Amino acid sequence: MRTEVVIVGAGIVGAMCAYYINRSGLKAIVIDRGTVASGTTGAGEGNIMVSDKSPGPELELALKSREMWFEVADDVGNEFELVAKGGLAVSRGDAASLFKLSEQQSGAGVMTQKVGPKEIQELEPYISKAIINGVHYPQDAQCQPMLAAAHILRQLQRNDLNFIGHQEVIEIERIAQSLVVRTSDLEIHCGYVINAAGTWAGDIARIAGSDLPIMPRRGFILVTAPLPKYVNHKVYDSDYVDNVASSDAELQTSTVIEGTQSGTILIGASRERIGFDRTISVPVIQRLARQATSLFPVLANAQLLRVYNGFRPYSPDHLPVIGADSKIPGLFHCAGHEGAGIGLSAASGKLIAQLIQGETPIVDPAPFSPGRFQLVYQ
Amino acid sequence: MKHFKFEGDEIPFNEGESIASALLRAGIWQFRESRKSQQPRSLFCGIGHCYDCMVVINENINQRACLLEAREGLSIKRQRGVN
Repeated sequence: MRTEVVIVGAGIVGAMCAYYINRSGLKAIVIDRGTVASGTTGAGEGNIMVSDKSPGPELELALKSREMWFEVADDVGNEFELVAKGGLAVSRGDAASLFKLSEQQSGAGVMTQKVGPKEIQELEPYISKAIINGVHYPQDAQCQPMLAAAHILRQLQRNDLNFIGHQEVIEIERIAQSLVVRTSDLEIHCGYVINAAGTWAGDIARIAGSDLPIMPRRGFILVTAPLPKYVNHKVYDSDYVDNVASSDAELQTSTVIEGTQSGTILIGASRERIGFDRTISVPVIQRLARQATSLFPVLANAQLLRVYNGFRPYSPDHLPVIGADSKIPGLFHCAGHEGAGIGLSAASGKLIAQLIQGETPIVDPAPFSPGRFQLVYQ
Repeated sequence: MKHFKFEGDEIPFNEGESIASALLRAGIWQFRESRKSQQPRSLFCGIGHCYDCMVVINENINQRACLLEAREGLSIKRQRGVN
C-alpha cells in the first residue's frame, strides 16, 4: 500500500491529526492495534479545559484548541455531546492560591469570575454549604471523547481517509526518501508517519529507531447510575491543579465531579505512577467517593454503575510532544498530553499538519519539540 | 400472602422473592421509562449489572428491582426520567 501520511493511533489525538491532515489535502491512513478510542481516549472524562493550566505554552495551546473544537463540531456535526458547560473550581480552605492563579489566567486571556457563597449556590444548588470560595470558568467544555474520535474518523472516511483497525504496527523503516510501516499483514509506504499512540508512543518511537520518554500515569473514574441533574458544571477542588502539575509517583487524589448527558455523574481524579497496572484499587475508590460526597452530600446515596481506570501519557515536563523527531526524517510525534489530551487534541493536530506542510504554526512549536528530550536521551 | 404497593396496586409476593419476580408474576412488565425517549423498560439482565429494571422505592430512585427482596409495606413506583 502507498499513501502520503500514516497516523498511528485512533484516539482523539490521532483523529484530530487525521482531520487537519485530511483538510490540508494529504492522503492518509489511520492505523490502530485495537479499535477507535480503545486506549486513553476511552478512559477519560472528555475534558476540554482552560481552567486547570497556568499561563504558559500549554495554556496558549489549550485556548486555541478549545476554539478549534467548536469549529470542528461545526464542520463535521456535533455528534459527540460537545458543550461549554463551564468549570467551577472551589477551595475548601484558604482560597488565596486559587484566586492568584485565576488572576494570572485572566491576564493570559482566560475568562474568570470569582464567586462567593451565594453565587456558588446558584451555580451548583446541591454543593456543600461549606464551600464559600470559588472561581467560575465559563470557557471550560466537555465532550464524549469516544463518540468524538469515532464520528470525526467516520466523517473523514467519506473524504478519502482510510482507517485500519486491529493491526499493530511492528516495524517502521526508513528506505530512501520514504518510510515503510509494517504490521503482521500490511506494508504501507508513505512520506510521513505521525506517532499518535498516546501512552504507548514510546514504543512506536522505539520501533522507528528513536525514543520518547512517555510513561503511564494511572487514573480512576467512578461512574454513578443516572441521576437527576445534581451537578451542572465541571466542579473541582482547587488542589486538583497542584496535583496535575506535580511529578510525585505516589497516589494523589482531588475531587473532580461532573454530569454527563446520559445522566451519569463522573467522579475523579486520581493520579499514580505505577506502570500499566489495571488492578482495581479499593483504597483509591474509597478516597474518591469520600471526597466527592463531602463536596456533593447528595451523592452519598448514589449507586455506582462501575469504576474504570486508564493511563495518561505522561512526559517528564508535563508538556505534550508535538513535532518532528530529531533522528528519523519524516517521523512526527503528537503524544504525551497527559490528562489534557482531549482538550489539546484539536490544536495539536492542526500544529502537526502545519509543521508537515511547512505553514506558519498557530503557536510557537519549540516548547513541544520532541528534541527537548531526545537530546538528553541520545 | 404478604403485599407491597406498585403504583398504588397491592402486589403479592413470596418470602425471599425479588421485587422484579413478584412484578412479572403479577403481569407487570414495565418497570420504568427510558430517560430520553420515554420507551418502556423491564427486566433485562436480571443480575444487577445492566440497571435497566430501576424503580423508585419509598421515594429512593435507581433501585434495582432484580436484586432487592420484596418486603411488606414497600411503596414502589415506575421510574420516569430522573433527568
